[in-house]
Amino acid sequence: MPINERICDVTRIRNWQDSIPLHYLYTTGIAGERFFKGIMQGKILASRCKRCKESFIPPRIYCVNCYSKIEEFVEVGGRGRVVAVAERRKGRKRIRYAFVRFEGIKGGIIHSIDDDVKVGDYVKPVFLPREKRKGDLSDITFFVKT
Amino acid sequence: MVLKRVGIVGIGYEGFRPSLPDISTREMMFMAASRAYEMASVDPRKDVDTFICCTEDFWEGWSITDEMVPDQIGAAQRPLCTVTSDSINGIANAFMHIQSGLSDVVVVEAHSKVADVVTKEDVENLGLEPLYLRTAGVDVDMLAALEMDYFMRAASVSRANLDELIVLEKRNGLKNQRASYGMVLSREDIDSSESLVEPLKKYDRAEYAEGSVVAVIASEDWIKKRKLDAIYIEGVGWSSTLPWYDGGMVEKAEYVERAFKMARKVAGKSYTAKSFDRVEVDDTYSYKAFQHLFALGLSKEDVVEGVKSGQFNKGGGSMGAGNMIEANGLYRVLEAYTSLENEGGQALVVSWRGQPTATGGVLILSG
Repeated sequence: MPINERICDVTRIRNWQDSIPLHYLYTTGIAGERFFKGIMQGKILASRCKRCKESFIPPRIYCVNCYSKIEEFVEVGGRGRVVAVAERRKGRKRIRYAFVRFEGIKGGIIHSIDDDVKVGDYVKPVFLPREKRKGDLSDITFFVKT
Repeated sequence: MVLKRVGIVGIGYEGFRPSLPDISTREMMFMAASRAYEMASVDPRKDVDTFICCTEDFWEGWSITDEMVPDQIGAAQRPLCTVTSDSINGIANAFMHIQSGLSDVVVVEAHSKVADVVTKEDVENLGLEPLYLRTAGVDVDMLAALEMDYFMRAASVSRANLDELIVLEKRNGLKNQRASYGMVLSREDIDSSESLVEPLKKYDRAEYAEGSVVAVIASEDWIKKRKLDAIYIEGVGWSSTLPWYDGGMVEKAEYVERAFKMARKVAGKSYTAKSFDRVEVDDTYSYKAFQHLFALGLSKEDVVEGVKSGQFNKGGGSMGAGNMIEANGLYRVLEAYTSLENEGGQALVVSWRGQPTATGGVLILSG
């Protein structure tokens, strides 16, 4: 059952261009509220499962291992460790990101880093001045070496 | 419970080109389906019980796309459902339709009309978690580059290892008429190629391609009644696990490990990755191919040796044929099917849903 007619002349190929203007709100939820309030106070919080003793970033109100409800949030230590780095160059500008993990925590934070940060380095977040914080990850300017 | 044997009796395709500007998505699907029905000697209006289409609305640029799917594959006014994932998941659903007794014959379709998506990066980036990734300014290439760096360190995989895979698969593609991106490439070409986000280079990421693949899947009883030849599905498995940035593994793809375990359980056999004559594995990113092969239980030495001797993706994989989004799984099945039809033996197919997911499927096929 082939189609006999095929367009061989590219000038006869027609198309119509359109776009989908979509706008969303993403609710932070109970765990997100705790986490981002922590960020506004200059703290990084993880959710901790009482049953299997595991802690998570991003935080959740349920444990991915045992499915228990999580109500405990703990502040992670002051420093994280860089386990991966990626760098995009735009002309002379370098945009560097890292995956930062925290001791005893499952998951971590992907964020921009200072120019001299390498894999294996211990880093800490640099927060915007308190009055400029909005309660999202852009409140962290970048991570710098400790 | 004894499972019924299920086989693929026909597989048709259209496209496998960077772009197909002269035909619409529906026409492309119609052409692929017509060929599959011809091969399987079935009339979709009478012989097919259920239809499954693997598609995602954002790639189509059309919400509720599944409502527009039936007519072109002969499924008007017939039971059809959409699986919004890689087409191995579609085949797994077809397998279950037959096992449950609901159907004797199921059609699975998947396609890519991705050249029609003007701002592909917007669709890719909408797949990222909004609160913890998008607000931090992360995009898909940045995420992939971080995973690549993390994986290469954790699994001691070198740039040279990845280059070897890319060079070989691009060359394998030259022998495959479906592979638009087959080429003779040197390590120097890769080294001097554009850096998307260091360490991710242009050639580490398969280019997009367009096409449609349709498989006709049936129970062994039906196949025997019709006196047809088939490639049998011995095992099927799928899994979603924690992404690496949420605390999941990075040194191997846990979703493939779990899917392979499930497929072996379905097959009732203790296969290892070395049991197969043909291994078709997701390689939409160079480093993901290694991550997926490690998850099958292969050591680094096995994988490096296998890449050198051309054991994996003999038709060039996605590096050769291009990234066909949801149709990637069915493309790999098509490659395995063609090989088993000609040479017999057994094949292992490993697929991945793509960035930023930790979802994949495994199929065990025998000729």
